Amino acid sequence: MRQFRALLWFAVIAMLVLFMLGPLAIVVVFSFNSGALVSLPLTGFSLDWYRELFSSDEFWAAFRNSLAVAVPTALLATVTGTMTALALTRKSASASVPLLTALSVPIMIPPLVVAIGLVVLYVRWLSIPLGIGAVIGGHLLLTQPLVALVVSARMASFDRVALEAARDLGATPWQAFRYVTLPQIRAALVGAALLAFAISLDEFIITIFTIGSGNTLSTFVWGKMRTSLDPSINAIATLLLVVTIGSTAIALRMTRYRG
Amino acid sequence: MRGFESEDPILRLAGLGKRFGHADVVKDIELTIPRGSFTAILGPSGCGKSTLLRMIGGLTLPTSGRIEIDGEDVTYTPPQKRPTNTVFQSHGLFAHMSVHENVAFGLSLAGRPREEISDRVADALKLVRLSGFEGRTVDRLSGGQQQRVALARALVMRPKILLLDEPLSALDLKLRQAMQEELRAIHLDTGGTFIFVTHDQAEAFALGDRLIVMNQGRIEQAGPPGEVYARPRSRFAAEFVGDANFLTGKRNNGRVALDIGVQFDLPGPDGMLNLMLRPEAARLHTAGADSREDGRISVEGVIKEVVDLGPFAQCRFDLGGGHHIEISGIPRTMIGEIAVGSRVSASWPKSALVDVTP
Amino acid sequence: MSDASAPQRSTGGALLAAPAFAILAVLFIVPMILLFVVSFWRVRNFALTPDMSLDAYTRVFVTYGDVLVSTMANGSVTALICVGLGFLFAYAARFRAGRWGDALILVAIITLFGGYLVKIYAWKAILSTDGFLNAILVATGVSAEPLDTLLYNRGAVIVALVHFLLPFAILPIYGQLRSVNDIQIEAAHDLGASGRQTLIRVIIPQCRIGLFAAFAISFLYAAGDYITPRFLGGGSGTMIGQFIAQEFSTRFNWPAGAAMSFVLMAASLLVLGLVGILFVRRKPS
Repeated sequence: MRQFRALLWFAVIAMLVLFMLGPLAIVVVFSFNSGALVSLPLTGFSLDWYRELFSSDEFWAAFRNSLAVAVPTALLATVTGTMTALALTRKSASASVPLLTALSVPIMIPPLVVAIGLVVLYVRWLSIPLGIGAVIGGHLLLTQPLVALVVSARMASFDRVALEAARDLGATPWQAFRYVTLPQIRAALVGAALLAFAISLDEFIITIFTIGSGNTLSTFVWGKMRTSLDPSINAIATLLLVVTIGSTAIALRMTRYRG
Repeated sequence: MRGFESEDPILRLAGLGKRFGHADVVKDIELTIPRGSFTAILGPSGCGKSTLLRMIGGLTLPTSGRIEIDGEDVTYTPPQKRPTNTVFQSHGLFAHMSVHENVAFGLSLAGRPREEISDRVADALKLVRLSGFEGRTVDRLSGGQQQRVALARALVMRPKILLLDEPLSALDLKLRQAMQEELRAIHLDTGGTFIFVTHDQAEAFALGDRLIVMNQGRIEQAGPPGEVYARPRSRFAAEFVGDANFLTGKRNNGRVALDIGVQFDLPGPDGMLNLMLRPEAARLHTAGADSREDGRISVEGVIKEVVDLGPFAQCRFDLGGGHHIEISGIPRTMIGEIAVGSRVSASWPKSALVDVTP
Repeated sequence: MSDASAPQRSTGGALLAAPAFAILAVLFIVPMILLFVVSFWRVRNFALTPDMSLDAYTRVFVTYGDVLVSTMANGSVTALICVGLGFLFAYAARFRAGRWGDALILVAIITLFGGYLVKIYAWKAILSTDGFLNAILVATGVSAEPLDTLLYNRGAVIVALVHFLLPFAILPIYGQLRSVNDIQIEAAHDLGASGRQTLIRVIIPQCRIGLFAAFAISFLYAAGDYITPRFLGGGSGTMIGQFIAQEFSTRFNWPAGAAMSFVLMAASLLVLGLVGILFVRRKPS
């Protein structure tokens, strides 16, 4: 009975893990398959889809745009999110929780609504041309609350007496931050920045509404998805997975986030 | 309340107060601290002693009053510009730095030359007996060692006033006693002015050459520890620095009538009276001994409870009518003669009674 | 002492939060207000004209009433499946998987970020007529011919949404299960509770907030999504997000798009409110 139960649990967990990881594994495996169909049997190992992708100017243009969005997004969100977290650690929980929640509203409502709100603002009221800058604005809304949450979590275990000691030993507030706070939260900052980078790279809905005419990697994938089952999607999807999962995994190590 | 008057004050507090919201945490403190002294601020938790210390160090700004160090007004000077340094209760060591880097932190911010920094850091570490620990990371140190790094980090700045906020309370008893001895030695070595805050009266007496008893944001009493112990000015001060018996009564035309049924002459104003008697000031007299000496107050009573403390014993002495006193410091030789229930007499000199009437 | 306060903090501290909240105000709060204003405008001759009209809202309920209902239904079903599977997974990771528990949670975290479009695409590749699943079904003899009914229906949309949202559901539940300590469970067994009774009367009541959070996240995202139904749901169209996007960008009917957005959010809040009340009311008997 006990063994049967253990076996049942094992089966349930295995099925769930298969459900979660299987589809992603299929994409990766078929990106190296020579055949054009995502179907069995496998037809043989090939790097053709990657070769095709890398020879496409459109891909490289999308790649450049994605970096032009994700890098500034990650940097700016890390600055504003960290500043917010530092401001909030000085406040009581009853003051900081509502503020963090307010900052997080954009990630709690449908991205579609955020996207059309931005379009109305940009196009109708500010007459700002859509494009890279417009996308960065939208992505900041999604990423700065996550940075603030990650850094706040780190600051919760930060020894605030050390800051007072630094001030007592002659440090200005900026020096205290520079020499005491920053070295101790540096890993969390890098982790939060990578997380913001991964989210920005993967984000699609706000991007497609505010990018205007260009492409980022995600809108590039979307274009390919709509036209046909182009197997080079497998290749680009694999690349995206490697970058987003890779940076998330590194970010987790650096922030020591568990659950 | 007045603090010490001193020929050479290094610190002067005038009307100093701190209000958080509607609560006066520190009220109207008047105090001068002489140069080179080792002052203990003693009080229960929440009495405002830590806030007072933080205001001296500049970590909390006062809401009223004035702070002068060496004649200079520093009331609103930020901590990094004050000639004070603090040893924090939870040390506040920089977890990402080595012992050397921790101690060198303040000097390197001040832009001192490298040789001077390493010399002074070495001296400071020698002073706290941590030579050879320079390269260790601080989380590899024991609690006592961490506390000594915090001490060195503050001492190396050669502050005009070193502030210590319950510096030893996180340590166990043995370590605490050893550190007390070291702190005393360091104070002698450096000749600096030390102010430290504690809620432990034994520690206050062991370290301080001046004692300030605080209660509810005010100074109850300030003076040399022995004087505060022997002549407390209030019931609170009397109880906080040691054990005390309180005898109530009335005075009429210089004649005191205590509720325990004793009368004697003691000049002073008429009215209700509260007198404090230290338990060790009373002496027990077993049967036969003459207890009626001149100037001593003598009472009869029954031994209720005896506690053998090893070198001495103490007992609870019932005076009848619901009154009783504690008597301590009873020599071992007497323990056999004071069985519970036996009727004996006790006496104490009139001078041992201290008037703590509010 | 109660204060751990550094002196000059009150003003400086608030200023540090200013940039983030300025971004929030300009790029989110202002647009939401504008969007709300626009939802009362009209479109005349393909031009937006300011107005105080309820036309757009009328249009939402007349034209899209049934879509709204089916969106809420799809969202609820997705969220319920996510909560169920998420609890199973989190429970296994916390109580059943021993030292593999951390690895399971790592799987959840890793699949949390990255691959929104990739996941949708993967499901299309798996479920299409000449796709992966059909190849297996035919090869194993379960089905004689490839099925063309796997894709372009409500089921495909829900499966893909569950796949995308499951990690978001697992983590808050796991977070709460972690705070249920082993001693409580031993105490429950010691007092005579069976495994099932311990689960129902000790464990689940303690992770009610996590379960609700999991439901809320999954529901909000599923109800607001439009790419998944558009790509996997076929021509029929069952989710309101598709029509918001359509009204907004294809027909340039901003008032309708805006009104639908607010109706969607209001309806979502209503559903969450009801579920929340149920969660709070259901005390163990």
